[in-house]
Amino acid sequence: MMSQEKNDEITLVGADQPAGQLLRHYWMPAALAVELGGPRPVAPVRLMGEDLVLFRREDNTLGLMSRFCPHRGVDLCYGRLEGGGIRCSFHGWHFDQTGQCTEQPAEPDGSRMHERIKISSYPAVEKNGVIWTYMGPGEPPAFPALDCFRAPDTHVFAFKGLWECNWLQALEIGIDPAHASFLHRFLQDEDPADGYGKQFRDKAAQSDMPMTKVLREFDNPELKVEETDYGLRIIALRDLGNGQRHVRVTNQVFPCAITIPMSNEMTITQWHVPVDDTHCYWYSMFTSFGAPVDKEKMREQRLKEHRLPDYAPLRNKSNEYGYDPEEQKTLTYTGMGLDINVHDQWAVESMGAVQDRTREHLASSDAAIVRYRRMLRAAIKSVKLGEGDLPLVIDEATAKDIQGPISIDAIGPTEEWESVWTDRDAGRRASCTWDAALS
Amino acid sequence: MGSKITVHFVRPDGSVEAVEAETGESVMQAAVFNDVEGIEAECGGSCMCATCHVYFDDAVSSLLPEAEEEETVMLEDAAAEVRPTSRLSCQIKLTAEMDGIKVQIPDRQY
Ligand code: FES
Ligand SMILES: [Fe+2]
Repeated sequence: MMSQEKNDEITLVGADQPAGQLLRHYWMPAALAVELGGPRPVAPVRLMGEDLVLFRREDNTLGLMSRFCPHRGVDLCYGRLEGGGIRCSFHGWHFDQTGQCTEQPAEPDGSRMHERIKISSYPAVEKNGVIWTYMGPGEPPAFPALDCFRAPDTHVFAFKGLWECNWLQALEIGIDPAHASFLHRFLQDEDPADGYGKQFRDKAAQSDMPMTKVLREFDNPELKVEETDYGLRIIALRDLGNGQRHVRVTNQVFPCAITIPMSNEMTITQWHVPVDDTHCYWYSMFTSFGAPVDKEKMREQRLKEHRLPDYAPLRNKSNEYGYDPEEQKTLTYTGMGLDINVHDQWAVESMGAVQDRTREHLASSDAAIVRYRRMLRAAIKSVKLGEGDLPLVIDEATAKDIQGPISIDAIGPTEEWESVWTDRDAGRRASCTWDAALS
Repeated sequence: MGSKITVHFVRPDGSVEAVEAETGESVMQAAVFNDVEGIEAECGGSCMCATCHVYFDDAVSSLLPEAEEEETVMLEDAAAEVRPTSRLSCQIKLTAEMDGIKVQIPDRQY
């Protein structure tokens, strides 16, 4: 039975909090690369409660540092991008990408005060449309060889969205395979041919059945949860009643990501990144094993549902997520439209800014959540004791072996469920135009 | 309302914490309601997490009802060593005969 203290331990993200300290041992998405795409490549970033300014330097490398000028506290996002850094618009103090103050033009000639002024800064690197940072102690870990990083830029599309809740409840919905049969239930199926770029709108695996039908008609999956070197493999088995079984393989990638199938061609690797204790972004990397991703179409689909520059969803608490009781009777389980992201957003935001886990009752459908929290608490304890053996905190050599993870839907004879998904995945990798082979 | 009994929780280092509990409560609740460290009960007592793992003395073990299948299966997932006297404390209801029992807390639950 969780005490408030135990809930705080796994949710709060400040630099002095247990979960915040653990999360700082990992690369985190800080922005989408397109956010620096305009004529002036500067963007505000708020990550784990810290306000930062992200910018692209003249030599194309990235800088990420504290957002507020240490002189009088004004906003460096409106500073002048020059000399490989940012010059504050208030009194002209200049900071390089390491956060070091290099000039204070309003000070007397020969003043060396600037040498003592440095603001915090963090490394920033771009990978397949996402800009990543590391805000923790020591050297950052190596990036694992996940499909979303191995695939060429043409086969990965990245997007993000803001949710007004703590990161953990956002992650936990992604490792709860049973909810898809309810929260995302469609009372009528769409034509899978119109499903490009959308979750659950393809045909189920190699069958002619729409995935929405499988989820609707088989709503009591059996779950298998297994610890792996990257986190958890979560398999949901649905008996289709004709000697066939639907196998859906999803994953938790430590500490705050999931990798799940989207369509037969694409997977989604999605990080749930704390903005602060009560807000988070989901960052998704849609990875295609087939044709190059139609990024324009996928971005357009998603921009229709979000506002810029903060990528806040247009459907939200202030307009009841577009809730329509008539629609709830005839078309969707939630009455909140066809975008499954909105369903998830409603579910996790409606729990409250930080879910009060002292009052919850976990059940058998929460098997992966239970398992994940054990890994999380073990890792938090390891940080606290300075033991240092954290999942996915790895060197380059080990990182090469952390591949996949396999995320796929497959259908096969009931008793062969253990091989149908690996076989189907192997086939998809074999015909992939980029090197997706698992070693 | 049940009657009051005493339960002795033995920490991994051998020290003992005696708490007053009520019959009808689970051993897990007796621990959690009294802030006994080392019994986590992440799932709140649904037999879903194995973080309420404890060891009983042989004598007490024989007093206890046999574990249901759910408990036996979940117990395999316990983080610490599983012994013949291992149980999930959320599944053990306190009775008057259990007054004064010792409950050993394992070295870890995660
Ligand atoms: S409290 Fe979770 S199994 Fe006992
Ligand atoms: Fe969902």
